[in-house]
Amino acid sequence: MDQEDMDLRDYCILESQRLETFKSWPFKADAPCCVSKMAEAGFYWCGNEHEIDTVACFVCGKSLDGWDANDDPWAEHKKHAPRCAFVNLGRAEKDLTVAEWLELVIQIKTYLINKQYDQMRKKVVKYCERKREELIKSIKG
Amino acid sequence: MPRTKLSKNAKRNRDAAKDETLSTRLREFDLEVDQFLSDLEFKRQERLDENKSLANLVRTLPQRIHDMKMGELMAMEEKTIDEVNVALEKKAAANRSMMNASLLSSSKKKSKGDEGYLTEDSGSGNMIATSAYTGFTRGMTPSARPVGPLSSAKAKSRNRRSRSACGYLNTIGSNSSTISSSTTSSRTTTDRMSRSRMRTPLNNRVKAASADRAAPVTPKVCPNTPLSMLRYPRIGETVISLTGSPIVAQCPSDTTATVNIPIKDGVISLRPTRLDAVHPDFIESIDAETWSQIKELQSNLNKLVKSVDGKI
Ligand SMILES: [Zn+2]
Repeated sequence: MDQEDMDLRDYCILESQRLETFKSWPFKADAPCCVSKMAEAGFYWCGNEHEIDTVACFVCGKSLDGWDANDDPWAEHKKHAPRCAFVNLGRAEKDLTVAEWLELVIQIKTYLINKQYDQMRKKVVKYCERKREELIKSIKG
Repeated sequence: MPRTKLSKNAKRNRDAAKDETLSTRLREFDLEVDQFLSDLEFKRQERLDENKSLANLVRTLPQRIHDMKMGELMAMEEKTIDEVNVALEKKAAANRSMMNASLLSSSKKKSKGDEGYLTEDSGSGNMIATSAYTGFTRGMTPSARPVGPLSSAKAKSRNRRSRSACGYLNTIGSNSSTISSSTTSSRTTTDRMSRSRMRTPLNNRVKAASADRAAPVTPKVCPNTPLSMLRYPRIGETVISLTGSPIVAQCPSDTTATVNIPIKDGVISLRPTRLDAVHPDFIESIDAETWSQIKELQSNLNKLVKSVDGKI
């Protein structure tokens, strides 16, 4: 159970990467809730054929579904994740300064490190509890 | 039937032994788990510290990279931060040499044939300054015009003290003041005419001279800050170059008839407002050639006045 090195490229930190994740989407390019607006507002696609409108934010991780064609991705992001650092900057990637963007990337990395270790810790604790039970059984007979 | 005490003891002993083994094994196990979890926490902290040092590293990046828009950065071909920085430095240097070029071309202005308003030379100098400025703000790379030490020294040696004429804002040397002077003059001559509030040359001269005796002025900006940080001079305002020379930011308006007379260390600008007295400094700075030109000018003006008088 060793740490795998995470590659930030897997986490959709660029708008172009988020855009590429949309394998399917219910609304056309001229809808307010189109793929390009979704990617601009920080969402990447994490749906499947049954839930085709499930997305998550690349910074705060907030997952949302049940979109309407007329929803404004930025407004919905703000409504459901008011503390998200990206939505609070409120600007598309190209209009962020390099400093702002790098600050976000560092925040994402902190978030991901903690998430990774929280998950690992949970797994370790669960595994050890099971092993402990087995140990008690094997000795008590 | 009595029970054998021994066997009971033996069982109890066996149980006790089992319990002891269990508790020992459990203690060992728990210790091992604790050790593993604290190792995990240690590794987490290590990763977080790494990230924190990355954040510190980011903070040491040049300000010009910090302030860049992501859109601009991504439009660049350079792959690494170092390459981007080098490219930005080159661009900044190109802009600086553009400014020097404009300074040089406007300070080359010749005195002969100057009949007021803008001369061709100072006009083109302003155009270069303007194009360098727009090139800079649009993030384009203007074609670099290298300025050697000789030519920039030449530009400096042409330091003239502006009395009131336009175009001469450009002549104060030093790279730093170039940025402000070249842009300000180009704007004031073209766009700011509506603000013009003319003063007599004498007033300007006195004002400029008093700046000489003023207390030391500390520049409020770093000479290399972007152009956008600067403002345009107000008409009649005393401007002081970064090397300390007082400049009067005033330009002749194309709505008034003005006579500009270049003299050895500046220009005398004659305005159509009442002139009460001529300061001795002016007389001193007029040489023989200029004097003959002034007299020629006077006779021309007289002819003009005579032929027009009464017809308008
Ligand atoms: Zn978010």
